[in-house]
Amino acid sequence: MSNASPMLNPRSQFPGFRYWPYEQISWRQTIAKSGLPDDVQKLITCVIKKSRLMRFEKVEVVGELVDHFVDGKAAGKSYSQLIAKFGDVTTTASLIRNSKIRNRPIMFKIMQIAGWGFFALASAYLGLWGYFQSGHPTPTTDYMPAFNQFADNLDEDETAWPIYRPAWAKFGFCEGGEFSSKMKIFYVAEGGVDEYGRDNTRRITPNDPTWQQATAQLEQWSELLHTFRAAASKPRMGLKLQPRESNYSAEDYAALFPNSTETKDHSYIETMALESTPELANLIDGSLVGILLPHVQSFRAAARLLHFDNLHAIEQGDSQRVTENLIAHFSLARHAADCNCLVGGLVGIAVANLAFEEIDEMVTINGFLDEDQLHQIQSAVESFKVRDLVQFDGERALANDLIQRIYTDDGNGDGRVTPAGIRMLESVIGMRNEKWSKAYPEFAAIADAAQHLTEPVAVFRTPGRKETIERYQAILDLIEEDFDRPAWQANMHDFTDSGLRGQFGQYSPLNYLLPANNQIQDRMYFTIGVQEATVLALAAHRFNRANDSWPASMEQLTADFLTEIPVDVFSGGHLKFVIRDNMPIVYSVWKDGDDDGGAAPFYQHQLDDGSFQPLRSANDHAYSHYGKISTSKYEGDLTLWPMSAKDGQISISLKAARQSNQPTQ
Amino acid sequence: MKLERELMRGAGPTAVMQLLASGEMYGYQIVEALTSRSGGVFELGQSTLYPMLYNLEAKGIVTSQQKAGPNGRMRRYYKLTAKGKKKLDADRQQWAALVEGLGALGVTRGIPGLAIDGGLA
Repeated sequence: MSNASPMLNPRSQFPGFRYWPYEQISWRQTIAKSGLPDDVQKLITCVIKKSRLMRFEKVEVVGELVDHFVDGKAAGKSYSQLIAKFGDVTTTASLIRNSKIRNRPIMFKIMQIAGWGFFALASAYLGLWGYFQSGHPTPTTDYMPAFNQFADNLDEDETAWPIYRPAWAKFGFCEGGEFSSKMKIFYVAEGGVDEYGRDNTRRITPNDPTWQQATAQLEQWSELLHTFRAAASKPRMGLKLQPRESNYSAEDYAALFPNSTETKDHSYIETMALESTPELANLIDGSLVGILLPHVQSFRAAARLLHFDNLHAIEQGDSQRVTENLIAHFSLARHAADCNCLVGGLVGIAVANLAFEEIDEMVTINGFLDEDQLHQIQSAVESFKVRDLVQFDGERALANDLIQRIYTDDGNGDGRVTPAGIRMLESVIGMRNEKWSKAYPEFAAIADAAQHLTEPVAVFRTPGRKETIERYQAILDLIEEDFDRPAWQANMHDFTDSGLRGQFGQYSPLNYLLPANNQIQDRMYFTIGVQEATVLALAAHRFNRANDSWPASMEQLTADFLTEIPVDVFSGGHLKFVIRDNMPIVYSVWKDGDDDGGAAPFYQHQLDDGSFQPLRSANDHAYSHYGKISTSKYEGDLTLWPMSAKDGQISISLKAARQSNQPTQ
Repeated sequence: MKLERELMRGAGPTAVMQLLASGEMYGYQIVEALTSRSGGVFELGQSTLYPMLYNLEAKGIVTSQQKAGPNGRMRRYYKLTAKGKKKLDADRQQWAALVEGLGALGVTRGIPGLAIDGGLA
C-alpha cells in the first residue's frame, strides 16, 4: 500500500481519477505482498478471479478484502474465523461483480458501450471485407462479335478501308509520329501560347512565305490525298476492330500503328495487363476497353489536309478537285463514325463541321465553283445523315463487357462488385484521382489506403450487376430515343450529372459508362442546323448565280434549287434567312421561337450602358447552351450561316436588326 | 440471532447507513460495529457487506475515499452523503411504522430491547 499524501492522490481529490492506474496495477502483487496466509490469499484470489471485473476494479476490491482480513486479525480474530465468516466464494464474487458494475462511472459505461459497439462494427466490417474479397469476376461472354457486328457482311466494294490501308501504311498517316511533324508546316506561329501552353498557330494561307514548302509537301502526299477522294463513294469504312493489337492482320497493323514503338505482341493495353496481378491481367486482356481507335482521329487530320489541298487547288484553278475534296469531307465524317463508338461519332461530327466551314469558304470565292459543282456539293450535303454518325450499339456491348469484368456472376444475371473489378476500373478507366497522386504523392498514398479500406462498402452502395445492366440499357434507350427527336422536342436530360454519381456510389461503372449525352446531342443539333443552313445557302448562291440577284423568299428557291424548305431543328419551323452585305444570313429563331431578324443571341440582361450582354458570338458554340438556358433569359437568333462570319459582320444590335431587316419566310 | 437473508436485504442497508450517520468508517470497522451494536443480529460477512457498500455507493448514498487511518495504514473509508442522510431519515420512519405496525399486530409483543423510534441504540 502506498503512503502517498491524500493531497497528492488524484483519486482522493477527484472522483474521475478514482481509477487512475498511478500505483499498484497488479492485484496479484497486492495479494502476494499482503502477508496474509496462503489460504486467505487463495480465498481472495478465487473471489477476484470469479468476479471477472475490470483490472482496476479488481485492484480496488483486493485492497479492501486484504484490509478486511488484516483489520480482522488486528482485532483479535483468527484467520480461520475470518474465513468462516467470509461467506460463499461464488456468491460473494457474483455480488461484488454486480455491485461493482452498477458502481461504474457513467463515462466508463458509455465508453464500454461504445467499445462494444465499435467491436461489433469492426466485426461486421471484417465480415463484410471477407465477403467482398471473396468475390471474383468470371467473364464468360466474348462481346467482340457483337461489337463488330456493324462491320459484318460488308462487300469490299462498299468499304473504304481497302483504299485507305495501303496509303496509310506507306505514308505512316495514323498515330502521329513523323507524319504529324511534317504537318506542322501547314501551321504558322502567331506568337504566344494557348491555354494548354502550346504555341498559338493559325492555318497557313497562300500569302505566307512557307506556302511553297507546304505545297511541295502536298505534292508528296498526293497519293494519300487521292485516297480520301477515291473513298468518297464508299459508304462504309469496313474495318473490324480488335481488343488486342496483336489480333490485327499484318496489313491492318501496318496501316493503323505505323509509328508504334511497342512490339506487335505487347500493346499498351496488353503491357498494362502483363504488369498487373494475374487476375487483373486476365480481366484487362481482351476486354473491349482495350480497343484502340488510331484511325478515328486521323480523319480529322485528313479533313485538314483537304483544306490545304483546296487552297492549293484554287491556286491551280482546279475547281473539280475542290468539289471532290468538299464531297470527300462527308465520307471522311462517315468513315470516322463507322467504328460503333461514340467517340467516332463525335469525330465524324467535327469533320462534318469542318466540311461546312470549307464549303462556306469556297462558295464565297465568286465564280470559282460552277453551277454543276455547287449542285453536286449541295446534293452531298443534303444526303448526309448527321444522326447516323451517333451510334450506341458499340457502347452497349462495351458496357456489358466491362460489367462482366467488374461483377461476380451468380448464374442468374446478377452479382456484386469485386475488388478485381475496382482495380480494373482504376487501371483502365483511370478512376483514381491522378491529379492528386501526381501533385501530392504522400497524400495520394493515404487516400489510396483509405479508399481500399472503404471499398467493401461498395458491395452495398453499388447497384448489383443485374440492376446496373438494366439501368444502363434503360438510360441508353432514353438517350437514343431523345437523339431521334429534334431539338425542340428533346428532353436533353443530363444523365452524367453529379447527382447520378452520388446515387450509384463511387464504384458504380454507371458513373463511367454513361456518355456525355447532352454535349453530344448539342453538337449533333448544331451540326444538323448548320447542314440545313448550308443547303439553304447553297441554293441561295445558285439562285444568285442564275438570276444575278438574291431570292426574295424561300418559295423562289423551291422551284429549281431546293427540294424542300429546310426545317429548323431548334424550333420545328422553317429556317430563316436575310440578305445582309450581299450575303445570305441563315439563322434559327432558336429556343425562344421569336424571330429577331438574325440578331446574335443576347441575354435579356442590360448592362449599365444600356446595351445587352451578349451570350456568345453569333456562331461560336451558342448551341452548347441550348438544353440549359431558359427561354425567359434568352433572346436573339442563332446564326447558322455563314459559319466563318465574325461577330462584327453579322451581329448587329437587336434593335437595329428588328428595324432594318424584314425576315424572309 | 441472525436475520434471514430476505430480512437482511431490507434491513442491512439501513443499519449500515445508521452506523455511518455518526461518521466515516472502514469495512471491517462496520462489520464489527454492526455485530457488536446489534447484539449479533447484523453479523455480516464480507460477501454481504462489500457488495452492499458498493451498491450504496452506486446509488450515491455513501461515498468512499482511500486514506490513511490513525495507525497510518491506507484503508477505504465510507461515509454518508447528503442524499444518504435523507434516505436514512426516510428509512427510519418506515422502519418505525413497520415495527409499530408489527407491534400492533402482536408480532413484536414481548420482545425485550426493541425501541420503536430509536432504531439500533
